[in-house]
Amino acid sequence: MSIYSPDLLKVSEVLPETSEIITLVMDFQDGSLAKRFSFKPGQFGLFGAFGEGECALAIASSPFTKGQIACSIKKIGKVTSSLTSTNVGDIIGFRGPYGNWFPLDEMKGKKVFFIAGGIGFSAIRSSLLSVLENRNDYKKVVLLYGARSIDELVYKRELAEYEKSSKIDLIKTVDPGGESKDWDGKVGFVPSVLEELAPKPENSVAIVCGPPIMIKITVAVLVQHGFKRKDIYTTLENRMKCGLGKCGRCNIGKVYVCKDGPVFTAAEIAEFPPDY
Amino acid sequence: MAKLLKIESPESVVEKLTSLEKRVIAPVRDGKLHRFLPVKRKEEVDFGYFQAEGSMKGFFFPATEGILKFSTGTKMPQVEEHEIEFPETFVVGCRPCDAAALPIQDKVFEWDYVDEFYKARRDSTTIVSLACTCADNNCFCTSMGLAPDSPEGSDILMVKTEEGFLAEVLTKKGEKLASLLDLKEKGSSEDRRRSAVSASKLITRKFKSEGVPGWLESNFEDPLWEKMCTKCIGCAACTFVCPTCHCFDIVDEPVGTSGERRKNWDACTLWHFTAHASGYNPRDMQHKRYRQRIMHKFDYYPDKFGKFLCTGCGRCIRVCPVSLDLAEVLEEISSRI
Amino acid sequence: MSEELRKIAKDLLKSEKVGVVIGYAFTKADPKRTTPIFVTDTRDTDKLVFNPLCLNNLTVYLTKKKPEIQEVGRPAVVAKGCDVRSILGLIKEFQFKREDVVIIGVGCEGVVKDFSHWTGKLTRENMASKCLYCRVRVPTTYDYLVGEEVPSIEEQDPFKDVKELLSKSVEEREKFWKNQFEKCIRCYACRQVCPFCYCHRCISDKTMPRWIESSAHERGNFAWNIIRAMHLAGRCVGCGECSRVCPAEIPLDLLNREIEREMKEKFEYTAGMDTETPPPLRTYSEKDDDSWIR
Repeated sequence: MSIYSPDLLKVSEVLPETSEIITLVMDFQDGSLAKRFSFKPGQFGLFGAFGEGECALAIASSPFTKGQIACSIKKIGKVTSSLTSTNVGDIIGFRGPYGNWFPLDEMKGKKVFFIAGGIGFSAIRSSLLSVLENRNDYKKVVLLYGARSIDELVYKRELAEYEKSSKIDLIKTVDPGGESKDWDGKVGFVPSVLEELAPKPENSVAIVCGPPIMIKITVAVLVQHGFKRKDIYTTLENRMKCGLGKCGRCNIGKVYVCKDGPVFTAAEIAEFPPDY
Repeated sequence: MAKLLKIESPESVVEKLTSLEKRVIAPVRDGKLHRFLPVKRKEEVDFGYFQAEGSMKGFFFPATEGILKFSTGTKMPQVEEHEIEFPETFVVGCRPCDAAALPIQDKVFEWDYVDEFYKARRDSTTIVSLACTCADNNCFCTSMGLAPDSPEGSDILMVKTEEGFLAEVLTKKGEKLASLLDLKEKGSSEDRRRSAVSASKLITRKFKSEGVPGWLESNFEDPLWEKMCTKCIGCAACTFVCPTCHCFDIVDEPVGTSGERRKNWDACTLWHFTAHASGYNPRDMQHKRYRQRIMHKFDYYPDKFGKFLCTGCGRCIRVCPVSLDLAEVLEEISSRI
Repeated sequence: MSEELRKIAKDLLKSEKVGVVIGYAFTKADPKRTTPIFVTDTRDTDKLVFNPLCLNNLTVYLTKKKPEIQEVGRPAVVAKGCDVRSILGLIKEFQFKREDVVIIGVGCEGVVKDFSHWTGKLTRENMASKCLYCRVRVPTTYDYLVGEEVPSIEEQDPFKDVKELLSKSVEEREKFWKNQFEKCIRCYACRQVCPFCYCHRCISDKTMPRWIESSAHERGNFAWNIIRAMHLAGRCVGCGECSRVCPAEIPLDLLNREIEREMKEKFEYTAGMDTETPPPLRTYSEKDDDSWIR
């Protein structure tokens, strides 16, 4: 088997999230691999439709679920269009897990702020599920999640659960104009809601993911409130082909997102040349 | 210390190997150009060449290469691995700057994850290079730490001397070939030394390259990029003829319900290289794409692997449609250090 | 000639009639090689030259492929007769208006095939083949003209080599192109250097659907090279840049000129001669040949 050869996954569930986003739950076809496979929250894989190509996506499921992984896909290009029209029983190619991960062990004993925008939630969901699985290891857990409109919020089932749960403080928001009459969350962009929330930096870490502009402003707000850049984590998405540090397109300066990332601290990102 | 043996001529190597029915790759004249092609007889070969159009990069990392086969006609897609076995091959008569590119590429393809396609080809190939006896103003190998007769990447280096030809046997593969060629007579090291002196005089274009990575490191947004690189028209000629450029794309190409997944050459100078599906492109201007090319070659790669991603072969300068001269950019940088 | 050119450029920049003069200068390293230069400062006008080594068709920089150059200000461009034809073509295709560009036309005795052929003197042997049948040695349109007097040459049949190839059997021609396209590495130098390849998203880059396979194999290479030529039908002005820059030396202009020949024969049309005559592929005419409709 070459490094470019994918393993096969069978789609067991197709969960519609928004009008453009679905979540695929997939089982490994190879029984021994199903037992063996493990990954760390924040790692990604290359998901492929044969005849269409491959696409780098974060693994969105809990690392504690064995033999099965999930990813959430937004219909944008060629491969994602194909993947979002997948049916239960279809076969998906998968290479991974690749890249680094969120250092959740180092975050033990701290307050963890998860801040996500749109489909960016999928890249930190694995970490969130992991933290909730070992809930007692962490202090307060906060999830601030926003999208352009109510439709564009993903994982609505879980958001409903979190709302009732004492394990996590959920603040959900939609951009102005994206709300409906019966919307019970906040209205405003994620960074402005964060500003209102005024998070305390003491013994805290933040995990941020969303569109580039959201990440940028959110990090600025966190820094303003006294968060150290090294305590703010995010995950980057560059165009990728191989995922193996060879094809040469995901670099930002000396850093290869596929090998050295995708998880970076805001301190590391501040050192990057303006090339992403 | 490499073993020095006498050798009749580069042609004699081709003759012997082809008579043994070995797969030989050598420079062949094709119209006005020379190309590296498989040859069956020594008469097909032309060693009186300056430099081939493309390097022999394509024999290790082809412009297009199948990496797996698939068929999607049924509910269960059939995936078939591609063969990763290649015939024993001898590249005869490549220039030292092309041979030197191989260890540079090895680092990429054999770093961490090993690209078996590349490695299998490398393992089955013996490189017999031929030291240069001519150069042009676009050659700048000496500024890249090489020379017209440098041994990097060669298994045997053939050198023309006043007395005839010498074979510098450099590796185990080279020794194996030397015994296959039945080379026995020792060559004179004095003769070799004299040839090295005359080789060193071939290259006239010289600049200091040591400080280049450092300058690049702190001048990502220097006006130089726009000034010197705006004329770049965004093709991939320079990168595709480059013996060290190695960026690639992976595409699925089905015909009906079956097809191949292929690894194809790709280039940072093409606009779509980093364009996201959303339409956002972090390198939205041509000078930024060309800057990436320079940064990768003279800062990022050296930082990771300890040498330049360039052998100074000058092909990129010769083929550039708008005469964007990579060495001139480096000279400009060098003058600022 | 270069002196005159520099004076015009200087005046244009000084009077702020233009923001940039797109012209030719010698490269730093090689006194036998020129390169495009964008002059924005009057002090740099001294670098401008014109001679038989000025190969590039600089009008590619007037297209939307290069917005950063036009951002500097209204451009003036040094253009040979053949280059002016592409300006007229681009105007006809609504890429810009005549008044958006200042044409510094140059009378041209011909240019060399490529830099390596330069011996210090232009001869029929080292001249680019397009110059052997050039009918626009003095540009047809210009705002300024440098070098009005250009000696005439004995004109060759522009389609000589095309006809030679056409006289061969279909099998022979197929073999010819197969051998040629086999060399193609899909670097797209032909596309990028062409003033008429200004599509924001080329068909070869489109993936939904993927019209042309991007791999450098027989099918992909045939599709790319033939579609490239076909898309230039009635548009290509024969500047020959595609052939000149091809690192594999594929004679791409042969394809272009065969199409040019057919356009001339079937529609009595030659591209880039004016800005008015409607281009045949954009025009319906009762006179058009419809014998192929069955």
